[in-house]
Amino acid sequence: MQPTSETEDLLKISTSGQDGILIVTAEGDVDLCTTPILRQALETQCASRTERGFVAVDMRDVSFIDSAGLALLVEIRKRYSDTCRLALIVEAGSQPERVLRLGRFDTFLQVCHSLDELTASTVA
Amino acid sequence: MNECRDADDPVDLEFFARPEYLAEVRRLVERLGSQTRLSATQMDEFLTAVDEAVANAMRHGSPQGERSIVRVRCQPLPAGLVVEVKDQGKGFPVPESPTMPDPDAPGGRGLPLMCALADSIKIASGKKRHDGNTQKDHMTISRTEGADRNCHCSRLCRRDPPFR
Repeated sequence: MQPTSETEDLLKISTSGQDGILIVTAEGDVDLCTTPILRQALETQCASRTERGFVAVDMRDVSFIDSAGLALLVEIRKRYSDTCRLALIVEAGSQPERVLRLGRFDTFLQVCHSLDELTASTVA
Repeated sequence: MNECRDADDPVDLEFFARPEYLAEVRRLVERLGSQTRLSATQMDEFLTAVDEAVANAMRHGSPQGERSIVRVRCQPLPAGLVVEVKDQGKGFPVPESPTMPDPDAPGGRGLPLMCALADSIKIASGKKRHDGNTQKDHMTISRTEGADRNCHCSRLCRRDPPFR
């Protein structure tokens, strides 16, 4: 029997930019199955940066992330550290925020609740 | 994926070790959990633990890759859920006290997340390896409303509640 959902339906990705921040917006679940989709979007956005700046992953519409997703964020941050500062935007109190804090991601990545918050931090 | 259920019986799933099935397992656990007294936050926590256990079976307990079989039994209780995950692997070394790795470590978060987010983790047929670590045969994880998080898992679980 086949899974009832296609992988593309489990995680939808869009990209945009604002105030010099490249944004990857994710909607759905980030798990062992869907991390390749997020990986591709992050690699594309990070590789497009020629000057050092933020690449933000907007996960406010992500309802679930597991250790495969966390590992991907670590890998991307390390691989593109010369040109990219990886930031994460999460819904307050959501499963992603809580899992990221369990992994202490807030100690080495910028984890915030809105793009405005991230933008303000770049000005400060 | 086959589901066979009768009233309050446990739900048994058997599926190939393909990551596409992770979401199916989470949906099932979420659906069964909605019939228990677990809160939304407790369900979030337990879904994460179950996902990690099944992903672990797919990644480390599937000698034939995606042709390997993973079996999941989900037993709903009034106060919570008990989930058993079986794979076809030879087991892996289970450390005495899984701890979350450094934040920038490339991996190693699965078992610590499980331990942090379930009330109880039991690893059956734990054969001692020559290096002193324990091999798993199957893993049973549970989450129940109001459970003492330390009561069944003094070896594996952290002592402070993970989510604030």
